[in-house]
Amino acid sequence: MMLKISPENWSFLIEFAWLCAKAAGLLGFVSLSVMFLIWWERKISAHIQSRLGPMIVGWHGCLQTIADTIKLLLKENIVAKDADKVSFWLAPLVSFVAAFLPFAAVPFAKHLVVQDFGLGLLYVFAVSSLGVIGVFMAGWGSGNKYSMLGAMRASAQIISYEIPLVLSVLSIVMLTGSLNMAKIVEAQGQVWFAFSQPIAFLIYFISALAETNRAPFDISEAESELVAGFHTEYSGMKFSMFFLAEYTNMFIVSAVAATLFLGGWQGPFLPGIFWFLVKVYFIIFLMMWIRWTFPRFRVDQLMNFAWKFLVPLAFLNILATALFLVVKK
Amino acid sequence: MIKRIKRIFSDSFSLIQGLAVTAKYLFSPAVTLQYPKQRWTPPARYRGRVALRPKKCISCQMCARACPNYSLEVKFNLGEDKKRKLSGFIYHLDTCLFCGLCVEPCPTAAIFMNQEYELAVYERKNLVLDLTEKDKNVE
Repeated sequence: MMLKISPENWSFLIEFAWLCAKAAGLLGFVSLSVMFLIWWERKISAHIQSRLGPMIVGWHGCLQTIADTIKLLLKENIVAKDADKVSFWLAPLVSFVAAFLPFAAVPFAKHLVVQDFGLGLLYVFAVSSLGVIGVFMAGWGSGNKYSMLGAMRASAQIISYEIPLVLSVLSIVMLTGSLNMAKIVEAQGQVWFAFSQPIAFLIYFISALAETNRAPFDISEAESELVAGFHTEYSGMKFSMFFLAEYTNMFIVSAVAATLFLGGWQGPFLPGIFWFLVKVYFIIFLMMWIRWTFPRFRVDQLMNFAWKFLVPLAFLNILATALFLVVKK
Repeated sequence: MIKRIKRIFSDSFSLIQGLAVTAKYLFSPAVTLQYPKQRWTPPARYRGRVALRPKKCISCQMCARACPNYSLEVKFNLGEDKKRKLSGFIYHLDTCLFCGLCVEPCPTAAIFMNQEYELAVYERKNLVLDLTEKDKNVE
């Protein structure tokens, strides 16, 4: 079928090209950011343990991640004998895409957003929870008991913590009356929601740690029990995709936290994107600090904590917010 | 119920204490030595390899007898005056266990342990040293 080149088609093509350009720019930013985060985490973990971390490649090892990436790219592609080939190959891609898609709705600065959704928040949570499918595909496709156990644990954990995560955000949505992230940021002109909704912020932060499978919630890849959990059989490029997805997930979770609770791009004097990134990196720093401080939860503790503590607390918080709104009216 | 709430608060406080500990270490200096670039100064009485002051040695073989692993071989010739003259001091670094027992009986303090700690070699035969050659200039 021939595509007729009419003015409407042209404008569609231009719009499509512009969208592609934005996506490519975002992908570049995310990759660079992840490289920085990996280096940063290695540095923080090293200094917490009185070590120096990477020091050889570049100034204080700042090019170490690039060297590691090249190494991973050049490695042989190994697929286990009993692996389910299709899901084994697709899993890293699904993981990364699910981590990358939510960026479309996150406002980096006042008008710096790929697509200003009316239902941005809903989109972010809907898409980011697809990541669990990638993790499960990896565990299933590897044909390895440790991978399978890790994937089962990860799925159980992510699905459990999704509930307090969304419930904590619900109180914010009740206060602003909007699911649009830009509007939520603008509603925090006077006071950040981290101060007016501290319990929601705490619940969000804890659930976000669990969502990204990071310590102290890293039972899905508990080294001492499961080798490496769902990515035991992965190496080279496919492993680096999982790594990329993990850090992208961290970034997106922190970006949502900064947008919903810390006033997003708002800040004095300097441009919005600066304040936004400062807030995001601060939350990521907190996540790293926690990772290198606390030991891992046990599986039963993890589930008890989600269902017996966080979920009731989130419901109480919603109730309190609703009462506050009714009284205010 | 009140007990439980109290526990939640005390436990949360302990989490913050834990974070404070790691924060302290985050800003304290690292203990790492960047080895090939930075070198370590061993303490004064560090036991590195066995070293010899050849001029002081009287070839009495006390050190070779003291060695539990027979790592030392003292070779000598008898001079005109019937005195022993040191002709070779073979040190088997591969069997040496750095105990320092050879140092103690030496009547002239000719044998001692120096500060060298980079003793790795590529071939085993290089572990057999003749100290009369190697420590020729040691006083």
